[in-house]
Amino acid sequence: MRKFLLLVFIVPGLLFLTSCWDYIEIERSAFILGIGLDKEGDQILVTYQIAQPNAYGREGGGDVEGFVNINITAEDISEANIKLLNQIDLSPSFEHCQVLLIGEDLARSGLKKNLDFFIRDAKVRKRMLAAVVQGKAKEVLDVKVKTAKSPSLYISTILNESSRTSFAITSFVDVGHIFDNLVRNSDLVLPKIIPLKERIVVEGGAAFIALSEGGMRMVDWLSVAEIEGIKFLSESAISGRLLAKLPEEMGGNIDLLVFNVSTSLVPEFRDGALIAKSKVHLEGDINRMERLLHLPKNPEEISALEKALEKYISRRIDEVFTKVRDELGVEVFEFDRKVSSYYPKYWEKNKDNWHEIFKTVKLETDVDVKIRRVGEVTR
Amino acid sequence: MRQQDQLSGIQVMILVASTILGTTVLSLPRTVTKEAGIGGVVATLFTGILTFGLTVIITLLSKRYPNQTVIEYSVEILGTIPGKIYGAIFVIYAIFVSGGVIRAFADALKIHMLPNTPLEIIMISMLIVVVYAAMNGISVLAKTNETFYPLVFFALLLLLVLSLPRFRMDEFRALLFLDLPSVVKAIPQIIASYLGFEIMFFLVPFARKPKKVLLYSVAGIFITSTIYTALVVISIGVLGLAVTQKLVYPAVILAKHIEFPGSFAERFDIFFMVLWILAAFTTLESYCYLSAFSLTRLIGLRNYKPFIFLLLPVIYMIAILPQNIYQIEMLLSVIGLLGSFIVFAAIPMFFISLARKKGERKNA
Repeated sequence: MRKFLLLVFIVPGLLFLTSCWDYIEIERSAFILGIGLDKEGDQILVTYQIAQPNAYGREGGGDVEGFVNINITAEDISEANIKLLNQIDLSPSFEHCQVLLIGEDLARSGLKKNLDFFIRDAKVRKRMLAAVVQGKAKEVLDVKVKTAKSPSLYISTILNESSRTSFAITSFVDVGHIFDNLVRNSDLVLPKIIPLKERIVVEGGAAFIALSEGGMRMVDWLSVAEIEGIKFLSESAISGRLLAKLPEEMGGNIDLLVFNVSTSLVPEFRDGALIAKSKVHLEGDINRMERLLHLPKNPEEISALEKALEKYISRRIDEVFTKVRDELGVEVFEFDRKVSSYYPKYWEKNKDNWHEIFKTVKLETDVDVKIRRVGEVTR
Repeated sequence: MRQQDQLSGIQVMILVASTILGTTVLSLPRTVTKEAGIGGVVATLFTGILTFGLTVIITLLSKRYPNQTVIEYSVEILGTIPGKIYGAIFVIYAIFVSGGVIRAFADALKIHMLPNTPLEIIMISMLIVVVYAAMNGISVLAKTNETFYPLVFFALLLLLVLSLPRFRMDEFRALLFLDLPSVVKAIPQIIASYLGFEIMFFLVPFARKPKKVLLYSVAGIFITSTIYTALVVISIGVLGLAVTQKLVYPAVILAKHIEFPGSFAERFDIFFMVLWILAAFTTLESYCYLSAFSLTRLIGLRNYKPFIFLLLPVIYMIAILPQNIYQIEMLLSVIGLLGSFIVFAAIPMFFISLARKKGERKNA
């Protein structure tokens, strides 16, 4: 009887109390916040930024640094991931990884073999953001930022939040987006990151060309003004603040608070030639003018101001389109996506020499600006 | 029939809907777009309408024999030997589906949630629970479905709604240049994802109000085809067509893209997968029950319970047999073919039975 009772207690115990046998305590897992990839000779240098959980607690967070960086030189990212296991006493977890930073050298020499891991592995979130660093990605991850626990979080917040309000940052690009572009073999822009001593600057972008053999390679940097144009062109324009340079008599430089933006980019065939028709409509409030207390005096002056702004924006668009088309030879406006959905048959036939076709594409812009308010001063 | 074994109308509807909605929902957007591209949206809708028609025929056919299931009345319609062969195919089909579903379930679970748990353990523990539920008869089946289905439905709805902010209309313009032949060509493959409505072959004798069964079963199909079409549309709109075609489980990736409002939870996919387990469970439960039940009827016995235990090793063998993802796909396509044969056979059976009854009346 006693044996039976013993069995009654032991067997259910064995069956039901095993659920957490491979559970890893949260302090024992290394949450990787960011990954940096740099070129180092023929190999790559992978920088893993690992969160220090102690720094995130409510007490005693002050002095503890929020992160630890581990640098590993390896053949590729997979080898580095395996080497990482030998170098930390925690179990690495990629599930909360925020950013993937790519060093300029590596980006320029082409990204082919190191992207598969981020796309294929089920543990990596497809919403992880990607960016290119001017210089070494390692340097960015080493920056000790004052307002965040780690540079990775700092960058991901900027990319997430400011890309919605600033015309200087590309609309954010995540790994899923890169995957999409790789599959469709189309060019893209990644945000550019500049490391400073105690700050990190996120502005401008890097244009990538899709390689016909798979993968992508960085072609050139894009300036802030060019990103502005691209945002208007590729239907990712946002509500935010736009700095427009106008002639002195119009009020000089204007800080325009832009809202109700709608943009469209439509392909059209005219006389056998492919034309990209870009339409931009936006409303704006004047936040600041260079000339003190300068105000449009009558409806005519308002519409003259609107005309000037329209000209300014359409020149921006024109300039970046011409530069990207003629100098860089890439197509970063997601125009291929448009052509493939407007003219699927044409696209099927011509998708393999899209880059050549794009060189002949002409741009037509149609910008419509409405100024609604002029701030707290009146005439 | 015993009183407690009777099913209400809603239970019939949910049994149909939740038997259809199973493991395939994770890969549905891929299977649909692989052949037809953007036309997959239309193909999903067409297949929904097709299953709608088939369900109507199956239900009408079953209502002509209100006290029998397909295993018995197929003998009456087709004659002893062809009828028995049809019944045997049904039994084999139900066993294969059980095996295929549990394997697909365990594989998806292993990749996304339980990387360190052996496949065998996932499958065996699931099978034990399923068998326990299936042993208790159709009313328990109906009640578990009734309890779980709303949760699954809620999870899917949440997946679709929370994906909307990232939805882009771009790709759908190509629908204007639809290539109809490729859409039609895709239907045979999509129909495998809709299989499950053949449970209507069995439900009529158990229904409390056999007259209203048609309405409820058709409602079940309607709900499912709406969800399916919405899922395909949303995953193309959010992930893009090219990516949807490349992913093994587009629905999971869709869930991974979701950011809760206020981002208080980063991992919607875990929540989604947990509720998806319930969807897999209800499907498995139905097929386990059907396989044992139809086998018993085929042999001419009444008590199906011992047969569940007899079939268990067979189901497990089928599940463990495929060695890689391509062999699993092969197994699933065999299941699709068998299933299509079974449901389409309802059409000739229906007309033969109509002709028989008329002939008898003339003779009398």
